[in-house]
Amino acid sequence: MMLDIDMHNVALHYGRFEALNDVTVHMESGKTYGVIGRNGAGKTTLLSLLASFMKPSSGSIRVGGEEPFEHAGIMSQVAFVYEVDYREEQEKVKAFIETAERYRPYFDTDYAHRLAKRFNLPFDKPVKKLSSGMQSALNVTIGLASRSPITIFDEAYLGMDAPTREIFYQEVLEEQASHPRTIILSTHLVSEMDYLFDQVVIIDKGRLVLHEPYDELLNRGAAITGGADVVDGFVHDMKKLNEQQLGGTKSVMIYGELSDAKRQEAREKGLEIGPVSLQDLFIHLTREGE
Amino acid sequence: MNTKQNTSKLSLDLFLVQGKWAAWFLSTVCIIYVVFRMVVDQNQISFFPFAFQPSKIFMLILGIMSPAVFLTFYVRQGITRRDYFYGSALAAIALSLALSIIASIISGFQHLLTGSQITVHMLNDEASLPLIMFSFFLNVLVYFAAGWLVGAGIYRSGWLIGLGHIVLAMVIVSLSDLFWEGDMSEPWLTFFNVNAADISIAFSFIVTLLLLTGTFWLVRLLTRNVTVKMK
Repeated sequence: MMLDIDMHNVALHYGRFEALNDVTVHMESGKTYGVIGRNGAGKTTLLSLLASFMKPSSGSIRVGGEEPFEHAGIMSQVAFVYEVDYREEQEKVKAFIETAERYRPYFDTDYAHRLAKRFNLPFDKPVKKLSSGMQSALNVTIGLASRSPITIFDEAYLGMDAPTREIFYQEVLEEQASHPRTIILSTHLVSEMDYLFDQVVIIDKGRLVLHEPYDELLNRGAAITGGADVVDGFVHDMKKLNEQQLGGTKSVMIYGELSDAKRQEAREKGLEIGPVSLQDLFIHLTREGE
Repeated sequence: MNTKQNTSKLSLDLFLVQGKWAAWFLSTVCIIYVVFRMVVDQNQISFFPFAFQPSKIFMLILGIMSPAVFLTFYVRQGITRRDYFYGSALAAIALSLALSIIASIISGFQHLLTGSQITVHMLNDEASLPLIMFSFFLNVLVYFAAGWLVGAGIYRSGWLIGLGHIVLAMVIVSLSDLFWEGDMSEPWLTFFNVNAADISIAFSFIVTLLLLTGTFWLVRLLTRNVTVKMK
């Protein structure tokens, strides 16, 4: 089932604190979204609204044209995966997988078992006795195997070590190819996950900063590399995001699209133009106004 | 997946999980009862009234725990608050019924083996077994509902406002006890200036049913739009 997400002027206040303010965003189904923002930017609030964990203070949310809050048909199609506190959880891994199988309409048990094997998850161990990395792997296993048309991973991979995260990223790519659905990944580990995103949503201080296709977003900046003096001369009137120097060679990340004339000029000066990283753009875009 | 299917699945699952706890609980009560009868008791109290008070407390605790343990868990499975409510209520009704039937069966065996009378101090001696069972069922269910109210209040508003719900729950269980001559009825009897013996059983049933409906309705109001805790 294809379910587009539409949020219109959505706000969420806790007393006087504005966790989310005036967010309007359209998420087409079947794509992978990277929701990025600094700690406390409002990522989790945004995602828990989509998962109907709470109601917005104002504005409207529609999933597949319907209001998702308390809508049994929609809520069963949205999976929200986050770091759960399992300190008291006596149930075994197996029971967790069985519960998800019982309530998730598209759950694929064989796939869950394959994933559990890949993550080395012990089936008969109580969940509270798993390491935090293994608990994350369990959450992610259930999230992926649920094959929910909207699957949200809210920093669900923080407890995992790098090789396990890598397995998760591979699975996201393979799943998106074989069973396309809307996958929303929130993170501040931008540099290692950016290749997964079709679309990027950046939020900062509860507001939507931008929502753009990943490749278009990267055109908003460039990395200029070459002899230090030449690079400095070339970028002197541009907005610099980051610079690195090694001996006489310098690389400067700039913000703003390069005109054709500028590109020509760079080539003539022997400068290399490379893509800017999402990480640098993210840092730049969420630093403004500080 | 429609909401009717969800409710029945959830009520079955909750009944099985809580039933497992109830089996442990009843086994423990049985052991304590046997020890109690052998060592302490001179009055030869039968099992049914002996199990009555602990069963009420057991159901009260189940009710208090329910939102914190099951609401987040099931919403995370994509279940609505509404289905959680109806599923939990059905499971609690089934569990209360199961407890009263099992307690009656154990007492029945005891009656056959020892010839002792099944009496419940809240009803008169001539009360029939179905009537005794039904009063057990209603009473433990009231305690579940009161606990659920407290649990929902704390889940929704935290401990401070949750304390207000504890007061309300105490009023509910003591009102229910009033009509069944329970332990907490004294203040009410004095307040209403009535004699417990004057209250008819039919009236007690009706009032208890109203109390139950009211409490369940309050729990539904508290959980209908509640923010689900991420934990």
